[in-house]
Amino acid sequence: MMTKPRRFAAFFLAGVILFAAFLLFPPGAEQMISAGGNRIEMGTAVSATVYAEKGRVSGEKRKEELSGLVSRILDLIDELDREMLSWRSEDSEVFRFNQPGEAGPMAIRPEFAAVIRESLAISEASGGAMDITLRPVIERWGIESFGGKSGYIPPSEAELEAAAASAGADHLTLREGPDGGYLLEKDIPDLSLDLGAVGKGYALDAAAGLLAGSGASGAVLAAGGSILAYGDKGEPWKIGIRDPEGSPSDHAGILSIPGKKGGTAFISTSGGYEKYVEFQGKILEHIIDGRTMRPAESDLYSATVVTKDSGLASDGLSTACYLLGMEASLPLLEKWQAEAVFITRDHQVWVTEGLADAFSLTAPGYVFAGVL
Amino acid sequence: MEKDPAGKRKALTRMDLLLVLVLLAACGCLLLLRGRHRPGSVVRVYSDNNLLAELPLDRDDRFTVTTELGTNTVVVENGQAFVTDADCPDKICEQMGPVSRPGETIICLPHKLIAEVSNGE
Repeated sequence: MMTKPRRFAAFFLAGVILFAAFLLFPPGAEQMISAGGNRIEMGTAVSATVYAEKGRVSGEKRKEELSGLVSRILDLIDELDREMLSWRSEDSEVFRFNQPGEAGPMAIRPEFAAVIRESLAISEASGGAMDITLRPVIERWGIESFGGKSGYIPPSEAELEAAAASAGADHLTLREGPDGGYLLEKDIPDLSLDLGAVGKGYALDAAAGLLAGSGASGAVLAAGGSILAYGDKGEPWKIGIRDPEGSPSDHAGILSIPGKKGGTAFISTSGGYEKYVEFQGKILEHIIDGRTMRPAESDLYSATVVTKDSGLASDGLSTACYLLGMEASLPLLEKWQAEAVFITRDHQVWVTEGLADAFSLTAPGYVFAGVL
Repeated sequence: MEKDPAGKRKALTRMDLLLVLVLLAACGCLLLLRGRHRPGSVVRVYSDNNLLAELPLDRDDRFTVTTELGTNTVVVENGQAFVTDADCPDKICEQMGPVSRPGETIICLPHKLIAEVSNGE
């Protein structure tokens, strides 16, 4: 038997406990567990966080599975870089192709052929601005050593001309071989590939394939300036777009992308602020324009490109759009059914129609200029 | 539940009050803890993807990593971690800190260094 005050006390306590439980374990978040990891791969920081519903399996065991998945994703990216994409790795198809004087066509894997085909398409659509054959030019500019180093000296005109003579996507041919395989060919001996503009995006494509069969309900991966938001974690994915004038953790705006079971969104940003060097008071950016063979001189601070189904396209297009500027980018975006956020050097922010609702400006120094 | 017979109605006993107060205090403590880093948080220091050190965030400490690429020092101070004395060209790692919440990272790309806060699991 309980007296009235006691009953009151009991209800009161129950209320307090419920309130505390609600604060400690908010509904929604309670249903999801996550695991994450960071590594340095492809010369950049790669992070992966995967989410899964708790289900009936014990939390510990589920968490172990998720950690295993994170490792598998990061291992896959490492493997792709070493065996296919890296110009540094002696085991990669790019490295083999880059050997000077390599005579005749080289047989390549279908996956690599797909990377080349899509890259060439973006290259062509951008009028050669985005180009995957700029390795000798990039080397001549010394891009890898950009980043605050003093005493930088750019190449002479003669050096640059020599390097440019052995670059250009029109010297590269991809064709099908007689056995149904793929052959990659160059018509000048020194042509060499640098997949820096598309490689991280492609790695995210491969990771999305792995996630699709993994049982994870959601994941967010970042490889340098490229991001994959996979599936659903019970709330929209929030992707920050960096403030080009701020520190690495400042953002100018946020994209809020609704989660969707099994769905993907690829978000890549290109901007000159990422890496540059100063020479005689002039900023030289790390992105080389294939049309001029010189560092980008864009009127944009950054271009962010969002696609639904191709990391490679979002990565390659962000470079292309950055180089082309806003107006000239629109046909490319249309062709690839991609959306974009442009931040101009005079602090205007423009978004394409498909992102009008998703984007919100967060930094006070910028003006939302309109929808394209 | 039966109706309370008149006369037997009691006010809250002292024990009831005590219980309520203890529970309220416990809830308060839990709420306070939520805002901070979990007590078991550590910062893990990786060089070229190999784990080199694990520093608890609740104890001030410093750890210097020197490789053929260069030097960074990870400092733990007042429950937060940051990087200092880095001889990399861009010093972005020094701008990235301090970090204290699980999942937050500081990365020095030129030196292949990652400092990552983890809840210790």
